[in-house]
Amino acid sequence: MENIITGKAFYCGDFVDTDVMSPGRFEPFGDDEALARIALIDYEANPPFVDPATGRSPFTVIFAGEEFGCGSSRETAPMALALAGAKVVIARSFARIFFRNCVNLGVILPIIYDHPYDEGIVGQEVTVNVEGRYFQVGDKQYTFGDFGPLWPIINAGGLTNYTKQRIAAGELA
Amino acid sequence: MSNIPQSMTHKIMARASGREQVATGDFLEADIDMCFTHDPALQIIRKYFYKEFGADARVWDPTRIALFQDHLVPAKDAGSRHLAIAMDNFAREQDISKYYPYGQNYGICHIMMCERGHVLPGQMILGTDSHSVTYGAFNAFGSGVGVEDMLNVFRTGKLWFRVPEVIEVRVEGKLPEGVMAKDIILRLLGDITMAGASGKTLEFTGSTIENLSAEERMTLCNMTVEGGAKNGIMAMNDAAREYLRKATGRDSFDEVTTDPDFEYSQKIFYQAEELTPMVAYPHRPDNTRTIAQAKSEKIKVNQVYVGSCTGAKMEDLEAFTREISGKKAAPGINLIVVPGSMRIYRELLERGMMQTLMDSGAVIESPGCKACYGAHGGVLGDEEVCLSTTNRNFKGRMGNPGSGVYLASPIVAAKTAVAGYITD
Ligand code: SF4
Repeated sequence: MENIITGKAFYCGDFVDTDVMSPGRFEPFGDDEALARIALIDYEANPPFVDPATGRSPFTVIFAGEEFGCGSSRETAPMALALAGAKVVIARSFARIFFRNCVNLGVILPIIYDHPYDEGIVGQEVTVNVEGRYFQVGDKQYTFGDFGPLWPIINAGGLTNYTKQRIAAGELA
Repeated sequence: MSNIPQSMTHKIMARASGREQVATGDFLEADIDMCFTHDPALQIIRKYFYKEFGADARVWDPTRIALFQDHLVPAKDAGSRHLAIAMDNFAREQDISKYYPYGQNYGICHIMMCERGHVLPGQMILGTDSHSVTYGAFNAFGSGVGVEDMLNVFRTGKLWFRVPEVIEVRVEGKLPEGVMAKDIILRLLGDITMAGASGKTLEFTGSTIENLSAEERMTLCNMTVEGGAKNGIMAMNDAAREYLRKATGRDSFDEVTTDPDFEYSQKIFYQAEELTPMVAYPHRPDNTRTIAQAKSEKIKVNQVYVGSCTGAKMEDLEAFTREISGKKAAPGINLIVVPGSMRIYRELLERGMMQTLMDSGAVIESPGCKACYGAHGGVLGDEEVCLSTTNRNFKGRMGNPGSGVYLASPIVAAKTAVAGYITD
């Protein structure tokens, strides 16, 4: 994942669960194309997260409320968001397993931040500077916490890839 | 670095990550002291372990891994049997000696972890099972993780964490007769709801906790996950030390305590004398009522189930047996007792409790997870009702979405079995 991520913002409220992100009725989910197409399909918004014309999302950064990703621990939820085009979720809080899945799969950067935004943010340009540890909306800058050992995991494309890299580099026996 | 007051969970994470101290919200990589998996998870872990890390890959430390067969033994079908065979193979390939297959030394993973001395104060302990929060009863950090996490722990002995916020649950005073740890945790869940401790630590303090027996402490920590907690934890007490001395053969332990000036994110208080037996109604463990309320509704039951890592430890069965001794289960009720481990099973036999239970009308099954999660016996018919000493009563958890499961303590289970309706 790049160090500097720029793109348009989407907004989700509180307690958006993994069923809304990749509903069970579409199981088996099929290929990546198909999974991208149903990302957040049950989250009602205008415009929707995924543009039905392209099957992709015009949004790169999702602002969310409390407990984003609650519900069952399906890994297809963060995968769907990422395949559709999202790279970052900035939430007031995350459900624990969803957060772990984002990092372990290395597909979404989950930033925990008590941001001031609501639906009004949709469509605005956002820049996230990972190593600088801030995100920017217009002229407003917000500093988030240190990702510590998580950034190399996300960068490696997930936990198992990271482990393999470390073994190959001789860092682990 | 300025001094940050630490909770016991903070101190365990600091030590495991080689730091002096940690701050809430910090991300860190911790060295894992002990971990385990069970039959439903091992087969897939084994498959990816060799696929990702190579056919000759070795686990980081075979002495720090335990393997349990508890969910699907004895096998109910060929698929279940293949899970057990995969585990046999993995234990052999990796020289894992803390292996407890179906036989004379098996039982439910969480009970076995404690009973066999694989839990020590101050340790980081992980399992591929959400009720791994149980180990906080012995002042350890215990938490459940996913298969991907465990796959990497097996290879590296390390895993990343976020230092959680800590909620204090203080209970003071003496519990009334007939009130058990199960009632405390059900009361708490009703108050904070299933999201109430999401990703946080539930730390228990107060004189009631200090005086609680080791296995009652396990019950409390075990169900913290029903509130969404990352872990449950408490300071050691004499009963817990005595339990661990027997289980581990050790005399002293590296206990951790919370700094007096540590700031909890939330504080909850209960006066023990004011607590009563509680019942969780279908289909959520936080859907609780007092026993007085439940009793007034005369809820008829078809089955009473005494089992699981929550409700089939030795003390649970002692409480149940004491209560039902000399009485008989109401006609038509299936009274199923599933001891948590073979050691408990044997003790029931040696102490004559088996006789008492059988005289009351109970059928004593072999140890395991069984009806707790609906995959292995004890399934109810449509509209049928079970009163259970387990921990979850989600729709269909016991095998039939059309049935209703009520959760309560072993004492309430015994009284209910005799009366035929939920009572104390
Ligand atoms: S007894 Fe029930 S809750 Fe405990 S480990 Fe087994 S299935 Fe899970």
